[in-house]
Amino acid sequence: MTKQPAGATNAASKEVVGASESQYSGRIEDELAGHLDRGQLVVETSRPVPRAVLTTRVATGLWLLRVVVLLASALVIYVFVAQLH
Amino acid sequence: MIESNYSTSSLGPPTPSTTLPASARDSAPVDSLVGRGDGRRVLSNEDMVRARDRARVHDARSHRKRGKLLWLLVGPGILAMLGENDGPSMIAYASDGAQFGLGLFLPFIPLLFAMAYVCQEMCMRIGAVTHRGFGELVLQRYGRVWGWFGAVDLTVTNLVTLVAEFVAIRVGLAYFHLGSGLAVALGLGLVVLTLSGRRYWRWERVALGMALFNGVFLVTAILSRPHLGKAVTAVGSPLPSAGLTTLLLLIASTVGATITPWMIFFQQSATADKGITSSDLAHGRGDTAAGAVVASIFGIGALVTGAALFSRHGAGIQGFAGAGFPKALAHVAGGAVGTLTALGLIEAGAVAILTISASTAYAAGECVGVSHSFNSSPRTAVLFYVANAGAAALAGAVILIPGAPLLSIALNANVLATVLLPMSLVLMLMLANDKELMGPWANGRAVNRMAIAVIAVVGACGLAYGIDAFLRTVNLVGS
Repeated sequence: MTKQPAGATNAASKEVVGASESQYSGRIEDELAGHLDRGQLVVETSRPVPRAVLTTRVATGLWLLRVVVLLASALVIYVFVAQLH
Repeated sequence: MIESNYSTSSLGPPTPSTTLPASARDSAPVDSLVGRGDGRRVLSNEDMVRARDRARVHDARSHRKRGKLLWLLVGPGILAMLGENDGPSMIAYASDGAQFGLGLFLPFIPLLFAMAYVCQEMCMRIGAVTHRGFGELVLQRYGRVWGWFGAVDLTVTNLVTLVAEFVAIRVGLAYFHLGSGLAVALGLGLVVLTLSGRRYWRWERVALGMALFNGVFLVTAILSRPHLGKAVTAVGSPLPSAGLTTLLLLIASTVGATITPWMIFFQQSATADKGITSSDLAHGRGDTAAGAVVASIFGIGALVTGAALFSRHGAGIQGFAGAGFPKALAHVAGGAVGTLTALGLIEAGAVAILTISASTAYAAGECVGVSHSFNSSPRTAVLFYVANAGAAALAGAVILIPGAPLLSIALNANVLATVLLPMSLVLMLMLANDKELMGPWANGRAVNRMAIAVIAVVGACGLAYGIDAFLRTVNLVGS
């Protein structure tokens, strides 16, 4: 029977402990990940949703509203500046 | 394509299979990955932190611990609503009460919060179903132009509103003979302190704990001994006898005190960050409704407190002039009312600084396309943390500028928010009706009708004030 040096035994046992720790943390990770919906994962949310096609009517409506909102904002800012004087 | 397959039963934890192909791993930011070493798992630290929170939710749900489940799921709705009961809003409500009594505003405030509920329920639902914030969804779904328009609108209104929040803290501190420097230090210190928790849950609980102190306005209302008979008859009383511009300004600023762009960005992003899913929609609705009811009660508290000045002396209040408001109240309703009002203003400003800074940070991260979560570390989500603290720092710096027009900025903050709001509301309505995104959780006909009515009211108020005030300023119509 060949006797293994003590250092080799320790290294081997450390490897076994390391592997089981890794498996243990992997199991915990598995269990925790199970509590998330697939779409909640960062890897999923970092991918963009598909672009919607806006009809001409909708796009025109949005631009009209944008112009009205900008004009109204300009009026409010003008009044604000005028009040300062 | 991701190979993971999760069953998402609401009765118990879903069964995981986190085997992800290389293409999916490649699409994730490399520095946020924590692999197990076998190259098959791709979970970020943000995922793990959120998964721990969700594990508690699943545990409470599977053991039918209703109280605990409620405790775990409330947050974004109450914070959005109480966050909007901010310094300028509480001053606006109190100012309405002081100048015009309770007549118009006693029923108007609950009506506005009902309108706010319609909007906030939609963004909570979109956040829970898509797990994405408002900014990123608009940008990805409708294009960069609309996404960036929304982000710029939000940044402008947020910065102006943040200045108003620091002014509100300064007003509160001035009552105790403390200065602007302390107001800035307090606001910034809170933002940095809450960010240091590095978890959404911790941030939310600190902010929630502080927000409940908004109830101090209910105490001041009771201490100011309102005449209940007058309050009840006032509901049916006519409109305030003010000029059209004043009335429009009051209505526009009160609408802006209740529904704002930052609330939409904040609640949707916070819902996603908290990890709320479609199985939690009932709790999300309860959270939003509870926030609306509580905020409405506290808002009425401020209105009734302010009305003490109307019914006893008929005097208006110079809301942001030094410690004018709390001091005026102390004079007519007692020192305790003045002190509590000053503390209430400090709290209202501080909570709003937290929530508005957070909404700015969420929007910045979402639009640039980088990590944007309280569950991420500052190293992983640099922009999120910098934008959060930076927005507060920038606004704080403004109130330290000698001679800055703080009074005008504070008074116009809500009006500007009202004018810019319809754009965000329309895009939110489009998202909520997007069946490809929302599936069975898309808007129904009744919600759409209510939402369109809200958009019409908000748009009309902002536009009418803008046009009327402009015409009077350039003397095209008499004042």
